[in-house]
Amino acid sequence: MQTVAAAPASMRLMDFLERSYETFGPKLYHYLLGILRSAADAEDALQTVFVKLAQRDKDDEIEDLTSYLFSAARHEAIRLRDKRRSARKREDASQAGVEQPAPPPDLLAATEERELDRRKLEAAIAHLPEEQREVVLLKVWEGLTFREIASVLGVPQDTAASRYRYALEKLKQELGD
Amino acid sequence: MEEWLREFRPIAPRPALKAQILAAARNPPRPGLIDRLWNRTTWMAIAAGALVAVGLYAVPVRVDPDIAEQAFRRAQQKLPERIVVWTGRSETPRVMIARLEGPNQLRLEELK
Repeated sequence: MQTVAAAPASMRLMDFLERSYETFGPKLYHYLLGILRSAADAEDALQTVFVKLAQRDKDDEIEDLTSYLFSAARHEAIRLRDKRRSARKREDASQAGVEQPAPPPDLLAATEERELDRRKLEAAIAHLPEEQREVVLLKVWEGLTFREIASVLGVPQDTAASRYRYALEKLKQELGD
Repeated sequence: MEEWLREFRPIAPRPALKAQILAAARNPPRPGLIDRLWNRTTWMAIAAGALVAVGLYAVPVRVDPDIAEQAFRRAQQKLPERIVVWTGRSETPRVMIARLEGPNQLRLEELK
């Protein structure tokens, strides 16, 4: 857990933002990519998170920057996804779905010899229920603790842990491990 | 299983994204008119205004009936009358000037 009691007055805002991006930017991007399944939307959401971080009230202290940023990213992702869904519904109603949506971008990278495993894993992750998928992303690749995950998702810690356990079981079954 | 999963690296954002995002954070887009009008400060000002309005107008002015009748008679003669009133929930009396507002109505004015 990384605890930062807001940006100290002496620290310039841009330094604070730059350090925050270096620490959390790639992790937040990967998490957003996993939820939104679109690189452009993940970039937009990430930018909104950092703009809001820059604009926040100076009196609003951030006790836990990890939870704060991932919660903000999740809220923004949900907002953006709902917006896209309603736009898509309107388009479908008017054009009866002329264009097929683009395939989701890759979430993971691997060496050439592991490429087949990677594809299987991506497919297995895509088949997970969303609530389990985000716990797996946050725990395995974003490195959050169950306490932090619970705070981000707004669920009890036990719920976060059990979602993770179910997700791993499903992944094992699907990958035939 | 966890270890096996971690062998796959997460896709990283494109390198240019960092500069783009930091530039946006440095010069954030100006909020629209509606956002500026309906920010938190505005809501607090509206709430405070509503409370003041309730305090000033919704709670009746209390006057001793005999004094009010005397003030009314003098006001009819165009003689401004100083009367004692209690406004709002205050227990402290205030002295105000009563003038005729309408055929059956007095207007109370602050002492100058």
